[in-house]
Amino acid sequence: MMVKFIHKLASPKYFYHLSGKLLPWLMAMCLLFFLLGLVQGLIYAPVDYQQGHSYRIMFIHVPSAWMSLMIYIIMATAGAIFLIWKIKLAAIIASSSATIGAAFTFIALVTGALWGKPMWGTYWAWDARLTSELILLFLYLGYIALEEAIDDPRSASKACAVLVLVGVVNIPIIHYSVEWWYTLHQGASVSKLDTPSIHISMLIPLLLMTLACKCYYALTILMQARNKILWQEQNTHWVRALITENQSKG
Amino acid sequence: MSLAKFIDMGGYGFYIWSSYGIAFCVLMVMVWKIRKNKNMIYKQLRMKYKRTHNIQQDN
Amino acid sequence: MNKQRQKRLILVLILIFGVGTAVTLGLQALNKNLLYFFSPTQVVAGEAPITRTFRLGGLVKKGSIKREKDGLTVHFQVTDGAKVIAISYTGILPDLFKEGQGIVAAGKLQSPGHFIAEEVLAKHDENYMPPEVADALEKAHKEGKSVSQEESAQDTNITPTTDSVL
Repeated sequence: MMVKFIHKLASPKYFYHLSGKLLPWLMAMCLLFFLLGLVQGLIYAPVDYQQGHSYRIMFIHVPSAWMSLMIYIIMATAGAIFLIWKIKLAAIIASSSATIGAAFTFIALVTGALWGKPMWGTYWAWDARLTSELILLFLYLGYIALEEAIDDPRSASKACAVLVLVGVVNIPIIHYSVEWWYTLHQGASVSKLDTPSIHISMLIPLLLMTLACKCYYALTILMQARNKILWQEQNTHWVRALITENQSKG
Repeated sequence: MSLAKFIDMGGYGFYIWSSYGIAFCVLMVMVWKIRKNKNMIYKQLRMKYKRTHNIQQDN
Repeated sequence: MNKQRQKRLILVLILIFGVGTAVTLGLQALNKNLLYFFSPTQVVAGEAPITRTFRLGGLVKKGSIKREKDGLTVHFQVTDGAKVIAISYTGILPDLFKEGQGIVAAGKLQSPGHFIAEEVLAKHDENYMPPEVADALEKAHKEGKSVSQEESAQDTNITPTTDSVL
């Protein structure tokens, strides 16, 4: 039953139709969560005892950093699935994620710098956390460049899958860097199990913004994947029917 | 709470607003580029299908 | 799963395992260089490169901050709870600089136990809460302390946070 559903989902045509139905919902949820998160985070959340208002950058910095890791893990998983089972959809998921992952990594780095300047006293420090996150950005950019450089889509997907799998070792390094080495960057607040180190009034906007970012990723990856599917399947009947049918609607 | 105070953010306004500004610019440009890409694909495929359609009619 | 898929799965696993091992070994070799700063204990033990510029990190010792009349030069001590090193610095300090704060200073040792900093960065912890909650916590902490054995004010200030800051 499950296997049957996965096989059906993996068919580009079915995926295209299903994702089309999801898009408006994801768009609405994304906007709603961003709106709630921003209002809570920028207006209602109290000031921090140490950092005053400046800690509000956290509400965009931390979700972006989480997304940068999560998207990479998804890409690596999709890459492995593609290498082993040769499922076309897995390759599309991986390559559709790359630019979004790069965007979130970039946002995490820039907002981190803008937070670091007033609090630490510097925009940038070559500590283990910041450096490994920068390497992550280069991995994303390397992936995009490699995909562009290889003309044959199958070999491109293969090479990119290998690259993304090799880079996976960077993920635990980013996550644990603040524990393994002395860094300027502070430790984790939310994943710490013993004592809650973030007050509930600040945790709620953080989680809302995280949900918003997840919806954004779901939305954009589907949009991107749909574009790629249309292009790859352009010689099939269903794409032809879809495009010519939509002609009148513009 | 006054608007000026809200924008000033206790003196950290520049850092906070540029953070959010840059972040949302990046996110919005991303969506805009994907949509543009979609329109381009539609346009190209439409042209291609028209061509092949005409060829079929000629035969 | 057919033979070929199995072969590819094994290849992927070998790839991840191989790269993982290589990176682990590489990081172990580089371990020291990956430290962004050295603690006072490490400096006293001679583990820091004292002949050239390095970074020293610790908590600003309570009651140790002395500002000179020029308003720019400041002398203070950093500690990790075990060892103490004095720091002199001329320049603008980050907003967060205060007693008990974690800091990272870049500079050179002038003499054992005296560090001349060229740059001072603040290191904040991962706790976020409104000021009222922080006040309440501190109050509760102090009351708890006064009931138990009397410890020196310095020690109580440093020990509980050393773990999370360093």
